[in-house]
Amino acid sequence: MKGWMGKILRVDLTRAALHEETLDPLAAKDYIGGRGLGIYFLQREVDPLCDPLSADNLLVMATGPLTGTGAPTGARYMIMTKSPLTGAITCSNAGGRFPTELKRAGYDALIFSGRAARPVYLWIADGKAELRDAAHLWGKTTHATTDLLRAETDPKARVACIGPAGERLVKFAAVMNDKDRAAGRSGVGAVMGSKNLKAVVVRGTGKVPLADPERFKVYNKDIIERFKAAAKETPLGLTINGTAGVVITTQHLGVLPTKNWQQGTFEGWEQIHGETLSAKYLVRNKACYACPIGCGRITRVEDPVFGGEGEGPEYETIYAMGSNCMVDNLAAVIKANYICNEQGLDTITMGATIACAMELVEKGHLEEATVGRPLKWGDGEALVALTRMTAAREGFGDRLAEGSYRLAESCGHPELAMVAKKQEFPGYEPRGAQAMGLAYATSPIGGSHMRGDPAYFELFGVPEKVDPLEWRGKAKITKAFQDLSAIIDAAGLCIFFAVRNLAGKQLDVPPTGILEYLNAATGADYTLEELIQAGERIINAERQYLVRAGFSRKEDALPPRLTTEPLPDGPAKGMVCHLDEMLDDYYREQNWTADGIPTDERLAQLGLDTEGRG
Amino acid sequence: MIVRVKCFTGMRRFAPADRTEFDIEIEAGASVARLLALLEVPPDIQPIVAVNGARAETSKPLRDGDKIVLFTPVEGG
Repeated sequence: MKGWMGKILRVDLTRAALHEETLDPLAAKDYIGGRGLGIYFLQREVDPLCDPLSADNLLVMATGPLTGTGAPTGARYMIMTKSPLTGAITCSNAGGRFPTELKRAGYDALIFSGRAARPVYLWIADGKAELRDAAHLWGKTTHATTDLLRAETDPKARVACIGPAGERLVKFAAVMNDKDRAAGRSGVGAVMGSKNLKAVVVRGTGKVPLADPERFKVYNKDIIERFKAAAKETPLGLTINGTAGVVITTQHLGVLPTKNWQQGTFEGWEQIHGETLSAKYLVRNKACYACPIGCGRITRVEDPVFGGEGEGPEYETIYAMGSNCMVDNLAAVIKANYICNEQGLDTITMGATIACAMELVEKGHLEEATVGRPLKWGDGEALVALTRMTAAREGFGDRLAEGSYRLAESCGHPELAMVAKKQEFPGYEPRGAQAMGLAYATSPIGGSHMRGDPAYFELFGVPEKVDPLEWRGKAKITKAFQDLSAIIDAAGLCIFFAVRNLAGKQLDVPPTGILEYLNAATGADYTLEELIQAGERIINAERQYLVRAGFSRKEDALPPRLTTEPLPDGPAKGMVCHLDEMLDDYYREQNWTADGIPTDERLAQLGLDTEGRG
Repeated sequence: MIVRVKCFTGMRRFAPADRTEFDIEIEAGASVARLLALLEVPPDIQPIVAVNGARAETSKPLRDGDKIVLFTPVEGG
């Protein structure tokens, strides 16, 4: 096989047994890789009703056929498992250097099953793998673990690991690779912790074989030259201010979630905007492997309380811990971000859960005595302290560690958790960006912007401007973006490059550039129709997995705040999210029933059986 | 009349050198479109405009002392 390495490593943690298997070429073509391979294996091997933190769950780490090839942003891998936060699936995705190293060590994917009796880590050096004792690493931060593992294996090795939060089964624990890149969402770190798997360490010096290296090289050169010429003409905002530069857009479109989504604009927005980050705290940019953008931020804060050095924050962290908690002190947000990276926590759910706690206190549903400290809007010190306590499950942190839905429910007010499928939203208010609400509600992982990101057409005008306040007509383009994102996720690419540079300029976003890359890399001769269908197959296989886990239309929901309370401020003032109307259209576009179930006819068109397996 | 303009992201290059925030004199009743022409913003660049914190169309007439924010959207997340 070309593009794909053709090999999967199975790691049975219960028996401490490893074995290699061949990647089925037909499955590879039909599911591409990454997210596609993840659902392919979950569908076959994981009972949708199993306890996510039991030995019955699988943890799949899968690269895509473009990972490690040198295609721009071909740096990513996907962690898929059944989520302890949502009970649905995860699609936690990260870049950096680890995924490329894994591919170059010879594997498309690692599949972990069972549960180790004692803490272990997996060490892979160019196709030779072994499980090693990790007792001495238990309790260590992600940074310390990475340093110790490189010292005892190979100084050039790349590490993906959990921190203390994953060990303590915090429901939104992350898997961190290359110290600060996060497969952050839905609690993949807790699944790793439940398996007593502390880390995966990889050294790979091989090359990814390409089917047509000459064609790949010519196409790659053309894409990169065009990208660089355009960036010279109009410097890229993502390069200059990172994703933190989004604050100005969401603020002025009235979709910057503030005060646990009670408002759509934040008075202190300029203090947390990307330009402030660049001016006060940026040390340098950081790029993942083969990335010409470099949106990563290495930062340093000189401050007696919030001082430190590390990576971040991203826009989503700034919304969740900044505007959403009404914290306008960027240094406090950065400090809480550093703690999340080192302890292995998802910054979105962490910030959103603290914001929810702040509202529960404000409305009198939670006593500050229970929290153990004052908890008022805008309190940066509380943000940092509670983040630490959550990682350690110390005091009230033990309740925060369950996420906002379980916290709000335990206080008798689940409606105050800003979640879909119990997962907290990223930072785009659906009352002012209608399709975003549809994407949150129908994403297979719950509240997420990365499984089909309508912010592109509603807020950023890519590939063309669409009125963010209009709900009619949104179902069709949202579906097209979801299909595209499945292809991007499966190929091993990053959405930031692919949407602008490797997809058509129409709203149905045909993945023309990805097609060219995939065919040159794999020789699989995808037609455009086959590639689009592969995206649809992934979406439908995931959906049918959720159906088997008991999900249907009633879980494709948003909190009543977003669908019944008019937004009180900003350009979207007076709006609610018209989710129900959009859902009817959306299910029709998908050829699903009115209850959100894929029809047998639709599954059959995609080569899937009635359970969603293919 | 005099209005105060603040340029972010892709609109920075239309601001006077090294100044992101500046006052500019413009005839009474002039619109946002007139301001953009004065700053020599080519018509193919369509920034997002906010006047006194609220999003505005380019046809909006300006008043003395208005605070105007100009920026082009940046993606991310």
